Amino acid sequence: MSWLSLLRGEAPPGPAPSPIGEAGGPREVEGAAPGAGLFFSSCLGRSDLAVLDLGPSSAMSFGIYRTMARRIRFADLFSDWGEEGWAEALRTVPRDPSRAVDRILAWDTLDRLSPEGRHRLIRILSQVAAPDARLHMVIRGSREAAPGALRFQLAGTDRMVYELGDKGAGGGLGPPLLPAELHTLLLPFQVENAFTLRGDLREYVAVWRGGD
Amino acid sequence: MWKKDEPEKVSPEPRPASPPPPGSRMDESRKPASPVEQAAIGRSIRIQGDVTGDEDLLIQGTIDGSVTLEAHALTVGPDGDVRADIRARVVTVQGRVKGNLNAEEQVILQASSRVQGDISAPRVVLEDGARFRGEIDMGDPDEGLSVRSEDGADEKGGPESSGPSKTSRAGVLAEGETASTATKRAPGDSGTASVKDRIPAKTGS
Repeated sequence: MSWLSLLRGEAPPGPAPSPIGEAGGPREVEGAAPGAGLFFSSCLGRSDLAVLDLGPSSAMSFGIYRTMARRIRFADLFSDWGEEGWAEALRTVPRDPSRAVDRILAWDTLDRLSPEGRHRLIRILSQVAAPDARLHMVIRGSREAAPGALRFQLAGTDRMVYELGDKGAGGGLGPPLLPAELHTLLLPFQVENAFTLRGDLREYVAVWRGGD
Repeated sequence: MWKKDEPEKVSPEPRPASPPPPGSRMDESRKPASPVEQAAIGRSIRIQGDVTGDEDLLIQGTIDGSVTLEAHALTVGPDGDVRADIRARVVTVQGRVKGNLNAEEQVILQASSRVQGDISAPRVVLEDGARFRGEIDMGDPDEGLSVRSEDGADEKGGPESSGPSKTSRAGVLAEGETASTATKRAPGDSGTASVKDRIPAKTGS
């Protein structure tokens, strides 16, 4: 493990992760999510945050967000709501700075977009993010990590449950996203921490540095 | 398997001015001393326009417009399909809603619900399995926010009262409790949040 990885807070490499949904493999995984732990530790003592979860609504996740936020949005980008596309779900997110978003959760989102879609999503997120907003992401470590869409829920502030779901609208996978490529893609969000999760997934915590 | 010859019993359509069945969720959320009047819009009814009223309402049909029951409870039943902004004291959704929900006390999205729109209420219950796309706004935390823990005890939240560092889904961690253990949810547990000062004691669930 390089010193640079240590500086970035990346976890040391563990045993070879097994893909989710592989024949004979698990369809649902629960495991530690140290990035989520760091992400939510930045919310301690807060009850006035605005949270944007790009995934489907979840009672488990809502139970955690509500302790720290007064505004919680589930964008449910890839479910079939009869809309024209995922970006439609973000159309109603206010661009007003007084209603900016403090915490963004993007689990299994960038993987499912085309390269153009990824840039478009980050552009939208940077427009709705508050200064010092934090972004928590989970991205596949490889193309083989999971054959379809993944559904994530929080099982605690530092644990996640993820299961293989139906493909759904926009359920296809884009080209693999390499770590170096991700750092560039996310600007003006800057990656502060990265971890490897069970099931060959990578977890990132980034901070909005648009005001620098 | 048993009593095959017996004709299947069909539940009658809910009738106007009848109280909710004992043990139902609406019954739990509101326990008045006298019987509650509840109107119903049946499955075959379609309304285009604004619905207003001064009694509780169950919607099993289709409404396109707006629904306003300022001081009363509205239930969108499993067969209800509402494309309207809704304003009521308590809103319970079991069916489909496309529109904004504004409740003076509480919004409950039950497991079978499918809601697209923004929710504004001091207290929101999102049951496991409910499908929701939109924003939940639970009001201004400066007005004495407290988060109700599942054992019913109210605990103060917010920066002033959160103690040295740790908070949990119930607001404040007990000594020696880690954030992850404190936020573990029981199976079937639904997310609930409340603003204590706005909720009358009778609405506790």
